[in-house]
Amino acid sequence: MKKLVKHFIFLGLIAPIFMACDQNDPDPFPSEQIKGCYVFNYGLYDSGGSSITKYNSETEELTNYYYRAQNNQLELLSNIQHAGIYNDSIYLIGNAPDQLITLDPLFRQTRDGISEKLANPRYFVGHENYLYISCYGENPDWADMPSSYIAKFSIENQNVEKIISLPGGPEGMAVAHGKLFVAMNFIDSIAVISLDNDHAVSYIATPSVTSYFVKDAQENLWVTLVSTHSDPSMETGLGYINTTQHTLETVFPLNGVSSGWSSVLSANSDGSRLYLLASDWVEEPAGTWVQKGAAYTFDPVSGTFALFAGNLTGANGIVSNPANNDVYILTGASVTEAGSVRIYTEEGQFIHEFICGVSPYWAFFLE
Amino acid sequence: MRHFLLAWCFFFILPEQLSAIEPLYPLVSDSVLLDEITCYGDQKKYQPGSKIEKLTPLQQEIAREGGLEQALSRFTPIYIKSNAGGLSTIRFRGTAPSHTAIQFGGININSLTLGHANLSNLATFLFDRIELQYGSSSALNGSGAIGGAIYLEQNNLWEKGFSGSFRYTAGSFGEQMTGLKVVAGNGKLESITKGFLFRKENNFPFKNPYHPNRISHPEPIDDVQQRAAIDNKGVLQELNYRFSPNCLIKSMAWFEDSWQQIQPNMQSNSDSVSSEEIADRNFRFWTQFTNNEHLLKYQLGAGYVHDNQLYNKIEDQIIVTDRLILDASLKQNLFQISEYKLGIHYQYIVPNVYAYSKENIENEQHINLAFSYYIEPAEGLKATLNLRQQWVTGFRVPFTPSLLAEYIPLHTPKNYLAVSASASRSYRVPTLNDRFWGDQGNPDLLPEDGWTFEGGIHYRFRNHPFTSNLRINLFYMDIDNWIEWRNFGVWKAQNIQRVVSQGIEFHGDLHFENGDLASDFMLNYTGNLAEPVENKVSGQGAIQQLIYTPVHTGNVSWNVSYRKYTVFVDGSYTGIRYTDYLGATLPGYFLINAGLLLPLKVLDQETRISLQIINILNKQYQNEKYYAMPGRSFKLSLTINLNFKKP
Repeated sequence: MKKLVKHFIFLGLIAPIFMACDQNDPDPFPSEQIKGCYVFNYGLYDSGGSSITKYNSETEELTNYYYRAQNNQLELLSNIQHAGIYNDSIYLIGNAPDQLITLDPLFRQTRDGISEKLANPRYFVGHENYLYISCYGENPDWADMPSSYIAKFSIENQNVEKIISLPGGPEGMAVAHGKLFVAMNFIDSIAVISLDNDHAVSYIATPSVTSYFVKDAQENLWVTLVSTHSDPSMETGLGYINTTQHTLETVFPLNGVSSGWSSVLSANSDGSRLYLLASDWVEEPAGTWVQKGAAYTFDPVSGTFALFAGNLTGANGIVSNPANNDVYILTGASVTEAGSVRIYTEEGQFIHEFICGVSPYWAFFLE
Repeated sequence: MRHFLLAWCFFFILPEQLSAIEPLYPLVSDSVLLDEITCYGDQKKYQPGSKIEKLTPLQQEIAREGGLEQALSRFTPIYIKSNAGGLSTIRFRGTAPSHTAIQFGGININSLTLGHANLSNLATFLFDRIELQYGSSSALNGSGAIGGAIYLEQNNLWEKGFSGSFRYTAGSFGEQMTGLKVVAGNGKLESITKGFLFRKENNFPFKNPYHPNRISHPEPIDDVQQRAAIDNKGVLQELNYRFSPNCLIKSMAWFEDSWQQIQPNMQSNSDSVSSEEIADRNFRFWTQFTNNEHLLKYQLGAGYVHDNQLYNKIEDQIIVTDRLILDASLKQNLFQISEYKLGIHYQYIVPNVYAYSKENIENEQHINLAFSYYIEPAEGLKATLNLRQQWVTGFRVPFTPSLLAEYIPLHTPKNYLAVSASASRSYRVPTLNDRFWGDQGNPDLLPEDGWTFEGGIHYRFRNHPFTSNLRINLFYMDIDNWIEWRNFGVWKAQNIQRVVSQGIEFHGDLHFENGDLASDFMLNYTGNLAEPVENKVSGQGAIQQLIYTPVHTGNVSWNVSYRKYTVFVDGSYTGIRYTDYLGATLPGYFLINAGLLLPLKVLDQETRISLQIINILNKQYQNEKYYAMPGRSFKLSLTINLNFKKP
């Protein structure tokens, strides 16, 4: 009898485990609620106004101010400088105030943002149980960026465990072959940091400053080469980085690659095509030529650019929907007006446009 | 040039014809009240019927500390966008900050790089008179005078002996102002020195709903504003010599050193690591010789301006402009009913801005030719035609005329009625930043170009002990090629909008004076619709009211004086403002202030103590979104006048 009681106790203890795994339990993040394109609107510089727009291309349901809708009408106070997903969490890199915001897949924020040791954060990339966050540091001089660094943020402990000094304005990052590649936006190079000991091991010289990466199947990197106000250069385009050799193998020149701090470079689902924002000169009816924004495709095999969409005003970002390879161009002509997202087929045929918040910078898709 | 020739022929033939058939009317100079021989006084004459207001001496006395924005936001219906720190910009009649000319002598002190001035850096203490002209005056004041103009003026005393005044103010949140004014003269030679030191810690308490722990603790917290200190100092030295009452030379040198931390917004207030600051050093010098002794009156002026702005002590990122200014004008009275004026104004500008390429700009020259013709063709009727053509190195500027008229159908000791109408063109040359900033400057920009039509009626009633003024103005302003910075692959300045701003302004005042008792009541209201009616890029029409442009603004003030004791109360209302073009708004607010002035006699010298309570109701409000503003505060001032004048 005593043995039977023990069995019952044991069964009682393990029962909740089986109950939790019951297939009839509601999924906390049901696909039909999550599915869609999420656009992160930067807002007004230093004056808040950041917002998230959700768009479901199947139902054409559009929700502006999605963060508010999911968080009891709370405003998203920081300007969202970068947004991304890592291990089923959504991370927002916010400026003014500087903070790392963590959201669940339904975009609910359940804990306060983390600000400590994050001064002017720019971009994050996840690796194992850490987020690496590029930061400009306190009181950036916008010229040499001597105080910039990479913050190593522990997801488990929810704090910055280590500061890796990296002068020169780190911006976009990518992890390849166990190393962190950092696009430097104020010096002509890419920094390479070993993730074993978190030390900068080398720099790859580039003909101009760099901003963002896209990784290919071999874990090599495409990087944007841009001309900025603080570091002008005539040699803009795309660079191809061999991540094993730490070399810039090839430069594919393209004039006027966007120096915007947003999703100016992306790839389609299988990496067979890259999308890049740049400027283009368009002839007005009066016979004058004016500079306009343009989106280009890049074929990694042939190494050629082709105009995808021209005559754009305020193109901030370009992303490809992995479900169908439709291309979404994020435009925001001014810092006070609503932005819009223009959807094209992969072949460049315009499909649809929807309104989003002020200055859409980033977007991703959830299924 | 042909415009000038046509105008010249027309206006020299016409008066001769008129004078032959019309009786002689009073001399022109008798019909226009001029305060003093100043640039502005002269301008006023050529703008009959224009709405021009002057801050009263009491208003200036009340708002003597800090910058110009304090006085304007309390006593005028003009919207000032400001935070609690040291940044404030004016939006006259729905226009942008760069659409208001700020005149000091013959200098428009707006920054050549930004196009506007920070009103917080213009210390009220340094000026004897602050006058506001509503509406366009580009034909007289040149580029940028689209929405309005501010005239910073000085009084000349021409007294013998020595006089001076000292003022010390202590207020809440670490506010301190020390000011000194010294006047010395012998009746012909006059020296006026004014200097001030102003400091404010700006560590005011406020309720912060945007604190960093708002997810775990959603209630607003009691917070204290951080990193919003202001430290300004300045000196203005005048040296004037009067050869005769109508012939004099004046000179003014004004140095101002302004430093402020850039106030963090409420959500960043607790972020103690970052601090941004701006330091401005401005030197402005203006000298002017005026000779009105002869039939042909003339004026010669010269000036120099050095503007230097430093952000966050980053010496590499230098933003300096120097400019040399020369000005000459002559005027002549014709046939006792008219007067013409010819003027030439030249500027030589040398920018030294880290973001400008020397290949694009090493220097720039501006030259203006102006012609004004004033006439009183019939009793009670005044009219003026003003013409201006400006030339800028490598840039085309529109020909700018204005036509103004005022008719006074009723003028008795008790009643005065005037109606006025005007049509004027206005323009703004794009700033140096707009045209030359890095590879983003756009040298192909067109000037902003507007037309303003205005009508007004002014009724004055006088019956002892009351005097009352009622004034209503209607205006319609259409500004094309409005410049904004947009993202065209790279951020660039571009002619984007056409904006129409229209509205009504009401001013009413009632003055009572009987023996030792006097009282003044004043009410101002502005209703202003300002919409971008055309977007040249998107092709869109009007969306909504311009951002940070309230439809309704108003203010009311009342003071009572008995002998030299004065009690005052004033209130100002700022209506709802859009903060973006998605419909987000800031609620309107009404602020009330009050105070008293107490005279004392110390060692036979006049002394005054003033006590003020600002924002009596402790209203929590935002002028700029997410920026906290101070609640109730107190201010105590002591003013000692020293007078050793000779009879």
